[in-house]
Amino acid sequence: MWTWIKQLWHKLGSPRWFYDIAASWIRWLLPIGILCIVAGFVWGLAFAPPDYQQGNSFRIIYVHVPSAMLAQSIFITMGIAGVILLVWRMKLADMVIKIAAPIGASFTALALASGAIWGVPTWGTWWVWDARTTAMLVLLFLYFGVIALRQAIAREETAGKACAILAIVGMIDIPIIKYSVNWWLTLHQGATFRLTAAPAMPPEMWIPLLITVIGFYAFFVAVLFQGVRGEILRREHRTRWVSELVAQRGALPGAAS
Amino acid sequence: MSFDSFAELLAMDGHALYVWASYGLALLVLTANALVPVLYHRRLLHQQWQQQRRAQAREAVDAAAGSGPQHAQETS
Repeated sequence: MWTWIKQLWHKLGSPRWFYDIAASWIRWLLPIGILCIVAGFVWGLAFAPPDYQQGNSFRIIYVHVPSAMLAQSIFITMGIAGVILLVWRMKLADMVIKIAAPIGASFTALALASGAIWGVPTWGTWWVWDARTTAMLVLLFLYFGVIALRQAIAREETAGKACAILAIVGMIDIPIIKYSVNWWLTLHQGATFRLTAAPAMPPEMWIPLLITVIGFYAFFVAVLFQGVRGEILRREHRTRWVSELVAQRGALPGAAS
Repeated sequence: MSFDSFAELLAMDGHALYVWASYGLALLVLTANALVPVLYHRRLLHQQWQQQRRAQAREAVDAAAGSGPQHAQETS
């Protein structure tokens, strides 16, 4: 096991190796992700029973919870990648931070928007300065910060380090989001999934939610990997293996994948 | 199925606007995230291929202009 991890770690230092292995991962992860999302959405929209208090507006949960969970996980991914970049100077970690930031921002925006829409029929308002919604808005600004920071610094290596530091420091917001519903008793309800207890919903409600969450995560890894592949191609364009690949597959704009 | 008819599914018991707007936004975000890296990768491959071809064409022109006459002198 340990030697396997060491070998993998060593291989991760090679963008060329990752470029190829990521393609074979995407071939599995993207269809699994899309299938799970479609299944979870259809189940949640048409087959799950309506909530006894919220009626059919509760179906927004199948958009809101997966996007909010993913939004936080993506920032943790960026923070871990930041540590890896600063400690081991792995180029791949820098690419992960760069590619993950806009994806994370989009899912944070989706969580906030779906929450706002959900709030109108449920809370009677689309926005409250509730602890969790506010901490989530801070997360969106942290994502914008990481994106802007990279664009503001011309030297790629310096920009990567600065983004890594912001991603690590910004992780402080994640436990605040997580425990906000326990620390401050405001409008937002508590956690849907816990490791220590069964969900407070019947299985026909939480099983489609779990499927959608799995779908969102698989989808994220697939699109992250594809983004990193593009970034590898851009950064390594002077290397021999990229120019050979380009000569082989660049001829038709539609033929390359 | 939780609804008696397709029309009822669409109506969402008065919550249609909220539910469908959320799912619409979700599809928008998911589609954009799926398309952006694929299109970027494709465009990059094609751009680099064009650069490669231009470089090759330049080399060919340089070779013809630079060493061509010299070569002719040597052989005559």
